[in-house]
Amino acid sequence: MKREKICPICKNNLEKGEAGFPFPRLPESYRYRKLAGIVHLTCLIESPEVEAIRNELTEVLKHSPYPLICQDGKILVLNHERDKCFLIYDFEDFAIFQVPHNIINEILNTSVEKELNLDINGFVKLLIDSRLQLKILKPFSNEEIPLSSLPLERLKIMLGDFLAKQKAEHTVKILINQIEKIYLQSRQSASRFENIPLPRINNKKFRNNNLRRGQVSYGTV
Amino acid sequence: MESFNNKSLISKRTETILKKLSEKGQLKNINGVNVMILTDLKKGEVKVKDLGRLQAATSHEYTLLRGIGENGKCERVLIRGIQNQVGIPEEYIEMNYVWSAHSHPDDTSPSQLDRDALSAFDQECSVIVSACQRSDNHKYKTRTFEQIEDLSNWLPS
Repeated sequence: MKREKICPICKNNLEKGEAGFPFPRLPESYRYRKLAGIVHLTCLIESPEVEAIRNELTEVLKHSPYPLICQDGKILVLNHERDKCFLIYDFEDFAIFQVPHNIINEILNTSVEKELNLDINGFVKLLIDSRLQLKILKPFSNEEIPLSSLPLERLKIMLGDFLAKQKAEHTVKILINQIEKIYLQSRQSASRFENIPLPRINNKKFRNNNLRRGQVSYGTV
Repeated sequence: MESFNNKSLISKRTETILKKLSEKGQLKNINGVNVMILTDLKKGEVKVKDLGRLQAATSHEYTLLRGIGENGKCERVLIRGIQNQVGIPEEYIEMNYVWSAHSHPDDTSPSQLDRDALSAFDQECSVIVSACQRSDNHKYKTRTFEQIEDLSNWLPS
């Protein structure tokens, strides 16, 4: 299963430690479909067609089955509800990674240099340094991809609206739950009185007595 | 003792594997997640197709590795994780083990983390076995995935 990785651009082998970008397999009609494979990061960035490549990748991502939360330039954030994570496609730096929902606040609110595991194994780490930059470290191949186009501030702005909306939705859910609880409690206390017999009213007498002269009663009396 | 989802539907083979795992497996904590590791398995003792049955039985994710063990012999390693993830100790990557397959609770679509793990193994492809989807011949559905994402079906609707 292990095979040499040949960069589709320079046709050279991708050595261990060299930063590579897993170029996705694109639909048939797309121009850069031929680049599918592990591409040298430097080959991509130094390519004269780099902007066209970024545009094409961004275009395909818009048709993703996962909801697109936001797009800023050539950076897209998708929400993967099943895996409870954000998928970040940074085509400005050529990096794809996912951030679990439960650590997003930790990333956005940090003020000190920090290294966070993005997965259980620690295969991908996110280093938040003093210049508020994100880096992906792949420890087993010593691969380091600085996300120079995605400073923390930019990520904060990108996710800000979505997180605010999520917070509002969460608050609404809590309110609805509370209202439901109060309603159920009131129903329960009301049911206590259901077994108490109500005073019997003789319908016929009651209606006849309440009909004034000249009034017409409807229905069977 | 294992808690099974539906004991009557568990095959003898799956039961044997689970019994061995609970008796001889070693518990390890990887970044806060407890995993159970069963080493020294011979070829055929646990197969890729078993992973779907195992997950269907216990609701845990399973991973199968193969490589050369400390005794110089080829071995299989079975790892049981939690419901939706399983950790792989890094020594198996350093010892050049191959990530044969892992199970998923639902469908067979790989996550970005699966692709990252495959990249860490420096491996071209691996297999995902679904614990709930069955193919036409009633076997648990499998899918081979690669380090690169397949967006070839992402076309405007």
